[in-house]
Amino acid sequence: MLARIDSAALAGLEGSAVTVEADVVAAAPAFSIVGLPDAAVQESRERVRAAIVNSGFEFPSRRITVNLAPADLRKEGPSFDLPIALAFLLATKQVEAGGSAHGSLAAVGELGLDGVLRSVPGVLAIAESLRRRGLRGVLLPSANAAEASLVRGLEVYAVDNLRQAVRQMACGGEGALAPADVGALLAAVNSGGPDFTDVRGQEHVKRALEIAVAGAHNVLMSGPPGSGKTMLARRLPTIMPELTVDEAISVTRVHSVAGLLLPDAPLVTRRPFRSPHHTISSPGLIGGGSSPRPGEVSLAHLGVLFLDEFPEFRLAALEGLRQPLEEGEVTISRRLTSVTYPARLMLVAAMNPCPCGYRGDRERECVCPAHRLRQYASRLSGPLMDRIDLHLDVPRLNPQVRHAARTPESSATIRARVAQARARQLARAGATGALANAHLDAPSLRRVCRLDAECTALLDRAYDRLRLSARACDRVVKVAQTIADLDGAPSISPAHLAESLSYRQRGTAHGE
Amino acid sequence: MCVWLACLASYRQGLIGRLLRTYGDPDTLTFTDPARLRKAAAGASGRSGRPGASASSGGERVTREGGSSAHAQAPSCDAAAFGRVLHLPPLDCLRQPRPAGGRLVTWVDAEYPPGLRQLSDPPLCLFVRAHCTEEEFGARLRLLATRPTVAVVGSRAPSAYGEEMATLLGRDLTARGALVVSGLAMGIDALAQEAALSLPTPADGLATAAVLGCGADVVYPATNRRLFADVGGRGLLISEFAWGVPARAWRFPARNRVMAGLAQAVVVVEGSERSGARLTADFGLDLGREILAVPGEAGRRLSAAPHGLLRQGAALCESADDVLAALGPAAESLARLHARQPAKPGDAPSGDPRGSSSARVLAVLERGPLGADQITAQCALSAAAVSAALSELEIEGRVRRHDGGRFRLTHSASLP
Repeated sequence: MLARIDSAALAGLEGSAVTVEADVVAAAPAFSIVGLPDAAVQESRERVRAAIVNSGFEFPSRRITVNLAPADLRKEGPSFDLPIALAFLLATKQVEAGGSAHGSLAAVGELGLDGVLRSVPGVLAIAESLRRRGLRGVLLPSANAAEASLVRGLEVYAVDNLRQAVRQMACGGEGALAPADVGALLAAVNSGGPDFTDVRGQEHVKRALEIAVAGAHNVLMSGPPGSGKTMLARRLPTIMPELTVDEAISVTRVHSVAGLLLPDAPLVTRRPFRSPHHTISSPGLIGGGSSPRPGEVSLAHLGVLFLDEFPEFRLAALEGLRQPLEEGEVTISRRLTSVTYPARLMLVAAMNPCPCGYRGDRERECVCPAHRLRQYASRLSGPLMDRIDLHLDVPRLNPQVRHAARTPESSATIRARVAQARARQLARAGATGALANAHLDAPSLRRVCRLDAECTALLDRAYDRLRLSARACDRVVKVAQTIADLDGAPSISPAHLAESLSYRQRGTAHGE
Repeated sequence: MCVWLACLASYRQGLIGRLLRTYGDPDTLTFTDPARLRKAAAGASGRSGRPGASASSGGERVTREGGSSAHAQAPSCDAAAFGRVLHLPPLDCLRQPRPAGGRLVTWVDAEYPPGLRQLSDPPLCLFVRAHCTEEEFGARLRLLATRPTVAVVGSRAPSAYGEEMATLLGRDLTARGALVVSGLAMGIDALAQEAALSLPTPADGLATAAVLGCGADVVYPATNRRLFADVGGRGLLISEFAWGVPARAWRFPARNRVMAGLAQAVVVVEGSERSGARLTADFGLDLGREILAVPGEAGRRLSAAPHGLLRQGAALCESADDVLAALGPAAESLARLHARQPAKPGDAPSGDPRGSSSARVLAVLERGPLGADQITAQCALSAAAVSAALSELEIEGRVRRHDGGRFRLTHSASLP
């Protein structure tokens, strides 16, 4: 007897259609799975057998062949346990598919030996693909149900074990979960948690970070240990504009594929903040591995990627940052497949000014020998530094300054200004396709950001006296445009340009 | 012969000096009985001669080199034996081909810098490089002897303040006619010499001179390649080590004594307690040169050398004027002969800064270097306005940024 159940496999961020076919014939007992299964899928045989028996069903001695079609797509992971078990039960006539005539139910889930269903990663992507295929509904582990309910137009049936799944199958599905209200979920984000108001002093750095976020510019912070770089970076997501529904779904999709979602928090409601350790490998940072998984850049999609101890990161890993920073996505190619993950992120890098960390510090002296200083400085070079628009000094503050500062602004206040600036940028950039000033390329920049005579003169003098490069000049103009947007000014003024100049890249300690 | 001796025995604990004093002239040295030489060497250095050293009997015939620009050839004497008598290493260095623009100036030549003759163990032979014609070379050597010479030395990793002072001194001293000499090391040395080179030089003039701790064709450190070439083009690269000799730590003290010998005054800009700059000053003291020190911030590591010298009675140096005053009126008038126009006066800033915010920032900075946040707090301006004002002041050259994001007023507004 032959039976069929629909399911799906994860390929990158998309679900691709998989049909589970089970064929049971009277012949020498055997149980084989075909269709390029990986080790976990092969092990399904044991799990399915035990789960079926322990759930009170029979496992007759027949020859069983399970095919996971299409046959040339690699199948990975334990999520086919449930469809295989159901297909087998259907094929041995221990259950009849009932319910409504239109559409059919798909199944996804991992089985324990006792028949209990376990969650699987990537359910959001899978559910979306099932809906696109026109399937009516899906049987899922309860732990994944909330996530799947984010998808509209698909009936979601949460089941805890195999017996329940069979019951649902038999009656055609009842008690579907209500689709989740993404908008409400987003709005319900509780305040509290880190906030810019926690940071006393450092007004200049905060101002610069506001500019960075408004224009989606990348930032490099340089300062001695303990000056507050990490603290400030961690609060950056709080001044970024809130996630829209589409953005939240997009971020959730990536996190779901990476297996990072919690059962009771199926939707990512805050912008992500990722802070990998500097020993991270290139696949860990960019994504990859033998079966590609999203890397930190993708997990930081629409959020902040914070690279602390920036010069300590491996060069190979940093080199891989180019594509995400330029294109907002990262493509990982393997022999058989190629997967593209989104990676539109804001890069925030932090470093000490020198190996001992105290160069330029008020109280402590730097004890680094000259050649180490040069070595350290030489690690920051070239194309990656070109992508960083704002270079900030974060000095250690005197205790008096920390206490005497007036109450700092809250993140909400800053966020409101940032949102307005972003709106202005979108309105202006329009056709260029750039979402923010930082993404403007050189020709668009010249078209979109006009400098009057006074500004041009100032820029020329700066080019001359401060020894800027042409690229540095472009960056200065971009940042100046963002400052003007924050100000609500119709065009760039010399004051905006002058302020932008203060965030330029300085020469290294020697040979400035 | 001088060349060979110089190669073999540079700075060998005064051995050469003693031999010269005993025998007066290098040539005489070679015609001396080896036994007497050995005794003299042993007596001088306190070691006993190697037993069984096979000295050739009788006098050794030597091919005498004539003239300062003669090509160095291996002498056809039993040099090896001679060397063994004095426990000197064998004669490999002379096989190096002479690099472009390289010339030899030996003890016996007229152009040998008189200042160096005062050293207790002077380099017998100087390997000098300059990319110029023979007449210009001669002219430059003469200028080396006649112009008042100042050695500007200091740390390889100076603070922003030290960098500024080095540049200031290098430029102003050269503009006023003095000759700046330094070691082409990173940091203070390089900055002072770059500043000296930034002024225009007449074709037969001497922009600056560099004394090296390695062969005059070896660029050390590699980052100074361009500076090296500039000094070769418009100044002199001097070394007592033969062509191709690599830089080693123990050669630098030797170089420092040559610098002190060439100069009439030594200015220490910044340096830690046991730095090479301090050593150069000590050599200068021994030679009776004027020692000056640029004061730094109290208690900082880099102020240790200059402040130590000040405690010992060195003169305070705040500008080129102090140096020239220390050199004395004769030197000053001599310097005036060579004085050149300083940098374009058009760089001088306008009298009043552009806006009230710039004025307020300047006023706050009068009290001392401050970070951007502190300036903001004291000025009661917004962070944005302060950043804008600081940028404009930086463009005008009135303010400079330290490492660590602190800003300070510059000493001389036309400094880049």
